[in-house]
Amino acid sequence: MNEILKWIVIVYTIIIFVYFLVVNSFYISLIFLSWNRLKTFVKIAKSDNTIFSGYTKPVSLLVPAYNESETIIDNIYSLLDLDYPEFEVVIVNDGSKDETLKKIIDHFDLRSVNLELNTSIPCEKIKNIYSSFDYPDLILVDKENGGKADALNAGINVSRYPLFCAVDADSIIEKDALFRLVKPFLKYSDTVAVGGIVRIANGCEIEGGIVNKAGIPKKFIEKFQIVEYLRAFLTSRVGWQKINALLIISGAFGLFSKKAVVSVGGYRKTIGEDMELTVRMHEYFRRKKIDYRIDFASDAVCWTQAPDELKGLKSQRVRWHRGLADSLFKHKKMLLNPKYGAIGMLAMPYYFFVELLGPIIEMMGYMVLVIAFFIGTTSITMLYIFLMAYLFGIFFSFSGIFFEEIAYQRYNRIKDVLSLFGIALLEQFVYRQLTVFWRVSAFFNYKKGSKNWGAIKRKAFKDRSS
Amino acid sequence: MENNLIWITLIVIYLLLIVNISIFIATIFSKLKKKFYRYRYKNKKEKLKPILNDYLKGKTENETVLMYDEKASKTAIMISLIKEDFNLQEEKASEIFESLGYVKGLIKESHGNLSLSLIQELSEMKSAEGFPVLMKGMKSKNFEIIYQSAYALSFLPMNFTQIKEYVDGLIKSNILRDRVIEMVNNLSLNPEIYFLLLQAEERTLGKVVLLRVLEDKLSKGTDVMKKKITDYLVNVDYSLEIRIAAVVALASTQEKKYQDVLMKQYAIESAWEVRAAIAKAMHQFTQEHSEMQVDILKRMMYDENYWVRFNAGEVLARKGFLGIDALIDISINSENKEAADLAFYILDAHESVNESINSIKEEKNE
Repeated sequence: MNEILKWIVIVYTIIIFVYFLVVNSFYISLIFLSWNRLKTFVKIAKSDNTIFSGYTKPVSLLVPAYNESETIIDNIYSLLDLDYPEFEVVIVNDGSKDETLKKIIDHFDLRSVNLELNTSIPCEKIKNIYSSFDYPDLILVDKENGGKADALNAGINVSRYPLFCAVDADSIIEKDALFRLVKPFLKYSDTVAVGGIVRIANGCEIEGGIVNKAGIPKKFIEKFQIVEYLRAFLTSRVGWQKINALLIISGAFGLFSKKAVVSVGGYRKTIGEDMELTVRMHEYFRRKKIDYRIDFASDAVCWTQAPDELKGLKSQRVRWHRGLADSLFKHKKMLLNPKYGAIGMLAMPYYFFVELLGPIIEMMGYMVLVIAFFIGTTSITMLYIFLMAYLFGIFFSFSGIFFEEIAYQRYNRIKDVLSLFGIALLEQFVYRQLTVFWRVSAFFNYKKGSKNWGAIKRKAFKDRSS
Repeated sequence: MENNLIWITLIVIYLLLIVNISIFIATIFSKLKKKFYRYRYKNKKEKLKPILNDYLKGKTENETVLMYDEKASKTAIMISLIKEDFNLQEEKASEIFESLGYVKGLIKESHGNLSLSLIQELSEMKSAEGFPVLMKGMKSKNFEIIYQSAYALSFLPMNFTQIKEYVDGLIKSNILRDRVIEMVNNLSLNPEIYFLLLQAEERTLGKVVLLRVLEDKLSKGTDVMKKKITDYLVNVDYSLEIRIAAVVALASTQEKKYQDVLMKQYAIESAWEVRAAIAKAMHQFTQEHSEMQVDILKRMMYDENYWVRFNAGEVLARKGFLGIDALIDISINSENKEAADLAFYILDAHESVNESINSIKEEKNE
């Protein structure tokens, strides 16, 4: 028995070594792509003469809301206060069970209107539409509960403008972020979607719906997420954009061409509707051989509340992983299919073998390590491989922090930057294993997941700066 | 085999250690460097400010300290001082940059490599001397260089030949049409020059761009110009885009004569796109809330095309008492369900109805 276990440990050690080499080559290539793209992007952004030109395109901001009574009023004010010439804010109340609807109606003195609907995408029944003479750019849609995707589809149907921006109700968009996000649409006629960068608002100084100063929160659970977000956005998405293979435009902040989204049938009721839509757009435009561009504006910032409790974090990560699995399985025909170019041959395999299956392989690695320890076959090779994996993890996090410092410098104090490095070292213990465990359990139960709203407890932004 | 594995792993571990430590040091170094740079920038700016102040007052003893010296930080400081601190007028600022050798210096630098930052600096200086270099940028293979050069050029003073060359370059470029319109508009030429360009232009895109640019300027144009633009509308050989641009340009004159031209054209127009543009353009004629205008807008509410009806309804909502009365009439008395529903929707939901009602109330109070 011991011999068989020893043999399993050796074989798995080799498998994990090869897997790490392949995966990390992927990561390193992505980091180089991101570095290359980021350098050019920053150069362009810094010397852009057109940034505050009067020429823009009108935008409909779609805010799906479900039980958001705590933050919704602040959020609407911060959106209405955006520095952008022509936009409307469409709040879609997706059958909230709390006071969300009443609070908005009372606060903004809204009245019911008979709006002629251009129902281009099917959605659950719209019960009522409200607008205000005092806030002509604010529209409130009250509909039957159908989930976030359905709420966004309702918003698309009600919206007036050719571009729409999906915004999470618990997020704060920086004042000039729309100007930055819309730029690719003003430059390239084939742009169909642009993603913005999502940063964590926890620990920041927030006043009147505006982030005055970026900061590091006190709780470790929040700190870890800052490093995670920097890594995900700056060393991954920027790189994928460079080869027009960005598979995720975050649901918290993305700008879309309404025509393009309607042509692919709008959002689908899935767990990760944001990723599914982006993947479907790639599939549609590549299949039809239509030129298109899915861009990423890493200087367009949206601040979001990160969960500050394990329960909320677990729920979020399980949802994300289920969404990832769902989107990839739904579009599996693109996987390793050369007809889909960089999407089929690079992005899909990466997301499938690295992001989706990676946690399972990593989990098995931990299990093999434990088994090896108990049967006394823990080899030095195995420990070295784990050390190598740990250092690789740190390398990706450090790269994210470095890119942030080179390109954007949101964290002004050296103390904050040092703190981020420290967090990147610690993140590899417990936190990483915990998220791996959640992702593995999400993978095996992905079909059981609800397609409705996630249940992260929101807090009003004014309570968040401490 | 295991030995090989150990060796490879060890090498990777050492490499990763070195790389991680290097990234850490580089990040901290970059942070410190930026702090130091900001401090040095502030100091340098404080030193140059009084010297520039003296120079602007005609004291040129320390002129050499202000002269261009290829240092990017000094150029940035000088731009900031002249444009923001002293807030000099565009012409005066260009003159200073030229006399201190900045424009020539940057042009010389650009012969090696026309970078985005050089384009931005030339754009800030707005000197006519920058024209050849930026025009060269418009012929670059790099779209960003083309785009930024084109935008920078739109703020430069130019002679007619240069304007023609520039507009020609814009029309040939891949820059999106609305941005091209903005750039041509930035030239701030008088209507006659735009009109000359329009007449010389043969491409549809060029004509549309120039007609759109003329929108805000045609009221100051001559009758000959307006007559020619009327030809663009009535001649069905021109493309729809040109004809629609002509509708908007004529409406921008706000003259009764051209309101009549548009109304006449509406009556005989077969293209719904042009009819919809005419309906929308009726909003421009604010001086004339005449019954005749409201009558024709009412007629438009029964047009076979939805967008014509919609635009007409929106304009009626903004036409004060007569317009609202017309919408109420259609909403209550019309047997045409589509028109009645649209009128009701506009009365119910459109903020301009509220604006009209408020202005009627104010008129009554007065």
